[in-house]
Amino acid sequence: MTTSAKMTSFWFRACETTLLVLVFLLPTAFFLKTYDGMAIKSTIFEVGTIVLAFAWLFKGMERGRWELPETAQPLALPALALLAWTIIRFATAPRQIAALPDFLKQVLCLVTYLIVLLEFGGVQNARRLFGWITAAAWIAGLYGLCQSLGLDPLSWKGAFGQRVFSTLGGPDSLGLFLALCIPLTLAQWLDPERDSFLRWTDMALLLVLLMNIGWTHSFSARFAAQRVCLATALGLPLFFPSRNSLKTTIMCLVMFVIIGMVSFAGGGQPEFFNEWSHGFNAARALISQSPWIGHGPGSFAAAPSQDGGAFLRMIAELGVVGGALWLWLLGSLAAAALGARRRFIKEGALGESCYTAGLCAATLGLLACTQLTPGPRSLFPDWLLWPLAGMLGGLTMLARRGAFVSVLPLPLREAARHKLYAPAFAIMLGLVVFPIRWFDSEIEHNSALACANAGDWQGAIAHFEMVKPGAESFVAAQYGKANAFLALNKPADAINAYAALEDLSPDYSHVHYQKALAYAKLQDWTDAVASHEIESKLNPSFVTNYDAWSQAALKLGDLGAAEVAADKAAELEPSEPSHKAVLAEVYAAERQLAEARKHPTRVGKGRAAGTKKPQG
Amino acid sequence: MNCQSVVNVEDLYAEGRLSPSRTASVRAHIKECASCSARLKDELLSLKGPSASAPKDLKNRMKALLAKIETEEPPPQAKPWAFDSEMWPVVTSIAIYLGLALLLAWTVPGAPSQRYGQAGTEAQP
Repeated sequence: MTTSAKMTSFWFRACETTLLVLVFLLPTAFFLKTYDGMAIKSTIFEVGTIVLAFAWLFKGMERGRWELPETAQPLALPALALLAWTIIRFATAPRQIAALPDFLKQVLCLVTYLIVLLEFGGVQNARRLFGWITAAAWIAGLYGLCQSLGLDPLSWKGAFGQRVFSTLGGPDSLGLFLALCIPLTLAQWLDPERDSFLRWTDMALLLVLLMNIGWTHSFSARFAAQRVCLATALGLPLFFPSRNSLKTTIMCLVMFVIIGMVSFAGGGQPEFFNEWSHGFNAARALISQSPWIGHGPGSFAAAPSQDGGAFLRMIAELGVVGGALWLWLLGSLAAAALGARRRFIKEGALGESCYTAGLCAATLGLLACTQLTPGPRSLFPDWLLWPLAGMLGGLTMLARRGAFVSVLPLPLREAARHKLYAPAFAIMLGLVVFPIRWFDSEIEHNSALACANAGDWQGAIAHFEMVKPGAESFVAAQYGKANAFLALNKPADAINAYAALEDLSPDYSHVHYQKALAYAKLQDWTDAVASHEIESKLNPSFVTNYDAWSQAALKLGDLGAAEVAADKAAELEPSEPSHKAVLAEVYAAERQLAEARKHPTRVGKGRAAGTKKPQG
Repeated sequence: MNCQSVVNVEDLYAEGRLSPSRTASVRAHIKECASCSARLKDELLSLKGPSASAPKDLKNRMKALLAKIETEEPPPQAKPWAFDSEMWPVVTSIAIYLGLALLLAWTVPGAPSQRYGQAGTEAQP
């Protein structure tokens, strides 16, 4: 073997190892010195995908060419088109800093899909990938078991009450991840080359998965499990038209019935569907503003809104064009899977059938959970869709005819190509520094919140200022800094900070309400009332805003607006006495004004008490 | 295409696996470049090999080999859970990961995660 061939093989191994480490670490890693213990997953994902992409580039560099087999083209071209459209829309979209973390995620997910599709097509690769995912499921499941027994030694013990959240940091995400592992474990169990001992462990893992899903006490997790099981029950028999299919179908249907019974036995449905309805309306409003080309990737993060499903979100961000490209990719994958199914059955390729069936069920289940209906939104397990889809595409390539390979040759001699390693490594390390610095920013953001919670506002501002642009918490840190200025009784500084925040994300959280409070401290009642009004349009159910708006309008002398705002607060929370007190104050002012009009000489003397509205 | 690009794709060209458009550009280059033309000719000849026919006793040798394999006892199946030399990279990776994780958790300064404790920074009216 020549040195170049050895190096090519080395870079392939580097690609493979990085992918396997990613699928293992993303579900298992957490770090409890950032606000959200899951921030480490973003860092691992970004660093890992950068390394994966460069290992793939180095492999091509070593060989002197990058290949795109003819069989991969129908699955790679839609992804490449979607990637190009995402980049173009980001480059032309406003508010790029706030949108950057989300944009990077979208790009890196597509890169993962393409590399897995091009490099990991064989059934051996599928076995390895499934093995590492189920190993992570074992760790998550066993930690969940410990949590359910009250044996969690870590500081986040009881963060979700009795609900199990394990290494995924949230019951919904845990439920979805474990639900996805059901078809993967079943596929391993059906693999004819699987060792009998490992088949027993598969059965044990299925039990652990189902128990943990139940312990999450999460409607969305149970709902996700139901959809994944349905996809499994429908998908597996398609690939096994012999005796195996009956076994599989019975197993899947039994699981489906059990989970179906559990799903509707628990609570949580109304909140779940209510959230979806809000998210759907928010996405629809955004889509109607720019239906064709969308608002740019990451614009949902820049203009925070509830989610109505990732597909709606994609149309809001990338427009109908992006949605059409996504459907093209999905359609190509579905067509490839159905084509492969026929070929595998015909040729008796049982191993390939098992893993293609498992991947189909998991991908379909994940799509049903994240794209088309509401569900847990987090980097992991959402990211898993991409390597699984890439692996599915890679397996289906085995069943396609087509011998040609499109190549992009690197017109350099071997020695010259080797000289490229140094700058390429420097670029890779330079890119890896960003996620590490952003992770450091997450630690600073958490320290700032700790200072704020302890009342050390100066310390909080110092930490908030250390948060770097591009970090997920950057916009939140600007908001926190402005709030800290307000708490320090520096309303002018706070208003400047809120204005800077509005440049990044115009409607972030309760920015208009907070800004109104700062104006109120400066006794600028006109601007305070205007800010409260904007806040009420963005968050119509935010009661505290109506109380403060009513007070500001009173100071301004706009009794009509004060009454409307106080009425709204009392309507939203009829049992809350503070709203009645504000309303009484407004009525008293109105009565006083009416009296002053009747008897101009008595203006300003005395205030009537009570909440009865003046007549006339 | 330049000479080096042709060198980097010539194995695919010789095997007839290069896409039609790229094949056309390689052919166009070969027509103009004598050295590439000569090298590719050698490559194609080497692929064809010195003799195009199989050895005469190949069939018998294969039959004997298959008979031997059928009569032999199958080798013991490797136990995937057994701690053999193939497990070392996995064990080493897990040890490195755990070591790094513990190092990171203890050495990186910072406050305990605030999400699982108190509220945020919003000032009250």
